[in-house]
Amino acid sequence: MIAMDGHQPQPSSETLASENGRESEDYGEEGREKGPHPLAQAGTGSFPGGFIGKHRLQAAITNLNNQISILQEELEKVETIGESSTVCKDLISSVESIPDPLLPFTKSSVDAGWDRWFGGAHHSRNHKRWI
Amino acid sequence: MSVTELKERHSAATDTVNNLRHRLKQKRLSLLDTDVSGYARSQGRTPVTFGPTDLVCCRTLQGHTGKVYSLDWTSEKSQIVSASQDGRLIVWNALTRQKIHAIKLPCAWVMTCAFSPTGQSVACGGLDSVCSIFNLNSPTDKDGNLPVSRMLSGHKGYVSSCQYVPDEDTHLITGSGDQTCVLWDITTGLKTSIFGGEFQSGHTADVLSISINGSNSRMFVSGSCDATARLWDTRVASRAVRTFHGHEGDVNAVKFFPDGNRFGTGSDDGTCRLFDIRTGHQLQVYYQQHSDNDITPVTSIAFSASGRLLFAGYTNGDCYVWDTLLAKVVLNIGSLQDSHEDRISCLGLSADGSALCTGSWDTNLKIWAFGGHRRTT
Repeated sequence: MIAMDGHQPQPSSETLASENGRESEDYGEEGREKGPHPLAQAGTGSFPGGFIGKHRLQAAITNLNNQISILQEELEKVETIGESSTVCKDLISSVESIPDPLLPFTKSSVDAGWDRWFGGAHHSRNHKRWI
Repeated sequence: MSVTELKERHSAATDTVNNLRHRLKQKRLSLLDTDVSGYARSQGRTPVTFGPTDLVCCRTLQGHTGKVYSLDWTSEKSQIVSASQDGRLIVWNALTRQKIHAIKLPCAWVMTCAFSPTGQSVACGGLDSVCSIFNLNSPTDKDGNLPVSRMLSGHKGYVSSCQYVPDEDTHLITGSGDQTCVLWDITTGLKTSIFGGEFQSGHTADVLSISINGSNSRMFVSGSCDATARLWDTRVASRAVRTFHGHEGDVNAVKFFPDGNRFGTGSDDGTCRLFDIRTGHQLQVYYQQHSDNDITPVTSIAFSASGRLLFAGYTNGDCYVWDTLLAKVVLNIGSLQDSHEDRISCLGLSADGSALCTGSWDTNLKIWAFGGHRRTT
């Protein structure tokens, strides 16, 4: 989403080329599928019969074959990655090992630099003179 | 080979792609035995609690006369660069509120800005499809304006985002409405690599946001109107390392997690999500149900120093502080007394993590810091 006071950026020439040989990869993890890509509709007249039509078709097939090899590669990798709980465990230990100036608690001593926004050490009752 | 035969091949290849995607999706779902919040709860973690005066607005930076669209902190000093619809970049001393530079831009339609790692230069880009570099040490011209020191031209669409490669003032990555990202050599003004584009496994719609991995600057992530985020390796421009699906709308914001092993996203679908780059798992969805069932798009995101807090700005003026581990909103900066009077359009954390800066359509920037008593655990 781009919002610039109604001045929506003009789509680039590439964006406007709906038959640019790219197979759309847009689908949601929740099973949402977008409408078929113009190139995915074989036999619907997306490709004129001339040289350019052939050229585009060949380019689109090459692109699809690239995607096939990428997806096959990823399927092989996914067999070895393990369950998400392992990653969640790693995430929690990572988060809890790093001091965080914006949290209301700390494991280590407070860095003096954290409070420079209030002119040094301060107490909550003194806030008004800094705001 | 005839067109008919080619069409048959195309149809068969399309079926194969769809079948592989389905299998991959099913396999991934089978590996998602939990999400972060489920796991954290099972380990006895409880949400962060903020008192009413814990997160304090300690500075308001006034000076822009138009909506603020973008901001960035320096990596060393407490300086911020902001970009506004008024056609100016302002470099601020965030501690003193002083304006160090006010740069009049050749094109007023600016969308993004960035500080170089040394703080010597700033970059910006927008609807002119150019990324302009300003050397802050350059002498001003006769009208008192800072001249453009380098123009990085070559995108075929607007420049939506830019970020310097960490520890290098000489390289920068841009994201664009032409569906590509570009790594630039600022010294020569030339493209080093193009990520995506025609017939490559790149984004299929405008790139809206990028984030470079602070732990490994060869890796960066991009978010796009095609509802995906993609992970790239600057050494392999020909294809994305991985594509992350899940969002159901434009991915407006991407940001690497502090540890560099994960990244967050914010989308028009009203959700923020957390993805793991090594496994590709979607670890968490952050979504607050509204009473009117309206979906409020996320405009910008930032993580606190540890990653425990996720700050997310929304189009309705809210700025939720999420506990990333428990997936709970622990504070809404947008509803605090000293908050902005319009949409929060951009967010950024200071290098040491001690302050959050918010930029808004109300023309102001605000600095937020922890002002309560920290308890030792």
